[in-house]
Amino acid sequence: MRTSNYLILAAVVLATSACTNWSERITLPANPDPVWRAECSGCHTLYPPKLLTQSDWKALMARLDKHFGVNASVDDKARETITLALLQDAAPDSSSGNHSDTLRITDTPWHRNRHAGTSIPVWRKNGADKPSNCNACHKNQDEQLW
Amino acid sequence: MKSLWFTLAITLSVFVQPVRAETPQQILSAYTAEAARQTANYKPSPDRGRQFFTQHRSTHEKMPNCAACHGDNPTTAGRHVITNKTLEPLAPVSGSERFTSATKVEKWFRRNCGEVVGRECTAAEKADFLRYLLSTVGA
Repeated sequence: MRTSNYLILAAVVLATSACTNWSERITLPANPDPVWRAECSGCHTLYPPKLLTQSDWKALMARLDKHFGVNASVDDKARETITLALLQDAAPDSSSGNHSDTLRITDTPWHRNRHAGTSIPVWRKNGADKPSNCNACHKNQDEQLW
Repeated sequence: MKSLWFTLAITLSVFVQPVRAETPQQILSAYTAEAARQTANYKPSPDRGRQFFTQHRSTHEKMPNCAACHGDNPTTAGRHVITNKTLEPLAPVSGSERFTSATKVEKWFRRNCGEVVGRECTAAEKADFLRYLLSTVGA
């Protein structure tokens, strides 16, 4: 086989694996930690931990006092409990599709890919106003399937 | 054997009992008592509570007052001004779990007062506010 054929084959394999990963159903952990649920879902959608990498969650949990424009500080015990719950189910650091420099899930390649072609007006029409308000469009009663 | 399991179950259930639920009235009484220790003849006022709820402040640009997220009418659902998440009505209307845990109430006062008011709220402010919320029930 010529080198170019190998390259094409590699590209096809890569593309297929990426698609499999990106079309995976996202679920919350079977038994969500009650502290994590109570603290985080008080203000926003309870985001599945696998949508960001372990390092991203660590960085995010280290700066809760500056949490996307809000002081979302919790006490040390709650912070440790939540961090543990997140890391248990987070994407590994090798999963570059789930990494975001801004620590925003909506900025990850995975999210951008899954919502490619979805324009902001659609989000607005559904009452979400912004892509981070998942439940405005993803209306699943048990919040288990996205 | 059966009775052993029964005894074990009863014993365990005692240990895993959640903290006994409190009522909004009990929480109001506690804040009122605390405020009265600080100010003689203090009595909670729903009017002051309503003013506290709607008063515009300059601490947080996007969250100038409680109503920014909780809505002007505390008996109806609010909407978080940053995340757009729907927030359960604040007023302890029937079926609501609002103001049934003093620990939880204190935690949210601490967080939200710091964010919106720019300082911790006083016991009098908390009592006034809760008195206001209770006055809206059935309205």
